[in-house]
Amino acid sequence: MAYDDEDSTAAPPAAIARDDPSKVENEDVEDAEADEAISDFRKFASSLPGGGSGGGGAALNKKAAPHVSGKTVRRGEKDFESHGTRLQENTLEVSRTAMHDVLSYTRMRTPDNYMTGWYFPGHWAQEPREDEKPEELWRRDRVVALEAEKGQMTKSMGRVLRGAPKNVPGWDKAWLLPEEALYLVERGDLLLRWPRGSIEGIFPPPVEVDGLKREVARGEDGDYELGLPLSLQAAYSLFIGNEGDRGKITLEKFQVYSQLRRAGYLVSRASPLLDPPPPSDTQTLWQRLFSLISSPKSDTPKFHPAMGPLVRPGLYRSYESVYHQLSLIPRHKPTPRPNTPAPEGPFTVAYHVFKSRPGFTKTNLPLPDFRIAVVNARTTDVPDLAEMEALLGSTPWDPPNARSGAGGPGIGHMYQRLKHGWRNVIVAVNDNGMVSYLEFMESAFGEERLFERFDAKPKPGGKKFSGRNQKGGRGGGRGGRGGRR
Amino acid sequence: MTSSSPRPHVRISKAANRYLVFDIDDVMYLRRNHNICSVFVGTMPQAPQQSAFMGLPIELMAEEAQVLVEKNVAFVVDDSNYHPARIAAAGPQDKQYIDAIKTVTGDAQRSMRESTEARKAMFAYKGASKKKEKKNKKAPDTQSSEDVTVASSADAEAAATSLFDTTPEPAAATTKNSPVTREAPEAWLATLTTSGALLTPSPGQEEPIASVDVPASYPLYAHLQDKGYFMMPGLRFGCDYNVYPGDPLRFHSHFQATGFEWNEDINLLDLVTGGRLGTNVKKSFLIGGRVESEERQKDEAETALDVRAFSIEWAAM
Repeated sequence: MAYDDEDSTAAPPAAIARDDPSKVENEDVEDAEADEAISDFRKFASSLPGGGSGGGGAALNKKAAPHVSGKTVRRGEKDFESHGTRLQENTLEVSRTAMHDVLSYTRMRTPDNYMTGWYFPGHWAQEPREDEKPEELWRRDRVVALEAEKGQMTKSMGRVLRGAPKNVPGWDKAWLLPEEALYLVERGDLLLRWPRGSIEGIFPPPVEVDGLKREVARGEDGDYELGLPLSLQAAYSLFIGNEGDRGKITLEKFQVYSQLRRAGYLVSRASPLLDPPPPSDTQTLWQRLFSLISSPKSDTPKFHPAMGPLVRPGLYRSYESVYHQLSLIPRHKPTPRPNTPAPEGPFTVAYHVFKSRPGFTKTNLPLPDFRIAVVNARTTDVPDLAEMEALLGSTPWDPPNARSGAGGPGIGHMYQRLKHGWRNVIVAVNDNGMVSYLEFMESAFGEERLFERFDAKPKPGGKKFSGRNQKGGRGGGRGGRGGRR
Repeated sequence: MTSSSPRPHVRISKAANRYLVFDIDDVMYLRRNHNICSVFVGTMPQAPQQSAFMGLPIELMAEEAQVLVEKNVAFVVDDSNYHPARIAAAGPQDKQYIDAIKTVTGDAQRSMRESTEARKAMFAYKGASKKKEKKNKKAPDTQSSEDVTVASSADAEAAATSLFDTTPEPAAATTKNSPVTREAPEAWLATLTTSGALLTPSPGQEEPIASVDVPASYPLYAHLQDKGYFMMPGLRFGCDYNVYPGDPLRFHSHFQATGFEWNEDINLLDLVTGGRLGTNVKKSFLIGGRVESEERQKDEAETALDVRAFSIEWAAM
């Protein structure tokens, strides 16, 4: 029986998927996979080099691994329930064995293409947080020093702390944040080591003859005496912590981080220092004074009689003046400099997410494409208005216009503008390793003045009709009809 | 089921209130014998740019950890504290651990070398036969066009294999050396999945057992678990648990379950929402909770799992 459509409700993260061609290409597959997190490992195993079995020679060479696309690993057919046949049992057993084989893999490389990182959790702990510069963000949390940067991954990870004095050991090394280190360990790109000696032993300061100390430290067991290579389990125990622990990351944040990285996005920890300053106030004093005087007129009328009609009797030549009198309830007006408190707790932007692009440099980050807050589904309630306002207030001013991709002015782009909002943020909800993404934006319906259109003079030549046709042509969009499902 | 077998207990490592299992044998054991599959949350090193297939560790729900502890098949260790302390304290376990790494890398290197040698031998054989072929073909002046294409395609094949054959470089370098120095310069490095021997407590010490905080829906979970159902987190269907009649590798889920207190008022709209969503995705909406009654208070032990569950079907509007 085709029970495949049962997962039709599990939409892919729309906001994430919308501009990414690779994501769109695999969308149907992901839909199919969405419900059943455990998929057909038999096909996956056969798509891996060397049959996917761990420890085997051929499987170890990463270069030989072909790109495993979503199509090749499409899941097999499933059954509704157990019918006690041996066929069913056998199929399940084959799947389980394949899963066992695939997951028994041990991360292994030759030293040439295996990065080595040393765990020094306390090295930058004493650095003051206040005088951080955008180039060396989060240095107190950087706990792993890379011996040498190798491969593509380091183009977006790790930082050399240029501000550090040159007599500090490890000053010229790239330092990783806990999530970066853990992700690299998981990928099999990083060998994490626990130093048995001090940092001077690992990275001798430049005054000493380089290499001398290292030679001394190496005994019969060679490198192993300098420091212990750590396991994946050890890496998790070192890097996973509670919110606010220095040099650690919460598991829900790490899972979101690694999921985004796997999907091809570039991710950096958020910091207010990376946000652009709010647009400067370009109004002159006179303009502002003038706006103070004139604004009540254009907004709600000052005076409404306690009794009597809302619209004063009289002769009206335009709808606009009527609608002005009708507007009683003050509406939300987005402002570039909101008076919201700094966000607290889980509803805080945790990561800046960038689409993969050529010329991306980690030292000079462009403006992020998305901002993501991460919450735990089990411990977090729906945000209240104050939390949401604070969260949105912490994101930069992003009014809907042609530049921000929300179309131009005019009624034709109204829904695009409403959907884009004036600020936006994505909330990733993590329930024990499963993540859903929700996009929140600050919308302002009061900014869309429909009545202004009523006063426009009907132009000759059926212009009005073409306007209607335009509306009808957009029928597939998310217009007002969306509510009737 | 097999809880009386001599199998060592499953070690659940607790890091910041999350419960992880790293050992693949433990994972498969839980799957086969205790109908617990859980979510794989790790990146797969063999295919690190996709999220459809995930690798170790698995993240247990708190309920799963608690059920396993109650069944006496697992124990929970506070790894955020114990594990770093264990690494920092150098001891005889270090040697065991390093030996384990060396065994793994040694084995891999050996098998790699063998496969490289086998391939080399094959190439040598192929090359020789190809040369022969060419010579044979050069001799007669009159070549049929068919023969030319065969030879050129064989050439192309050989070129292609050598082009993509990046494997033997490190191993090939070592094979040229004498057997004594063969392994020393190119010792492979490995990141094991579990810390294994390193975690063996020193004599007189024990691994600190951590507690498990379970949510209010735990009785329902334990009840369904006891009945042999597999359960996954319910995020995708807006419920507490997604309930499968068997291993999710093979079966679709039947229920979306949400736990309630026995005397808790349930918003009727929640029932409609759950029921309607469930019907749409061909599942039943299931609610349940522990029976609160005076009898249960009296005889706690016997009716500890006195849970009742109801499934709701959305009929029509």
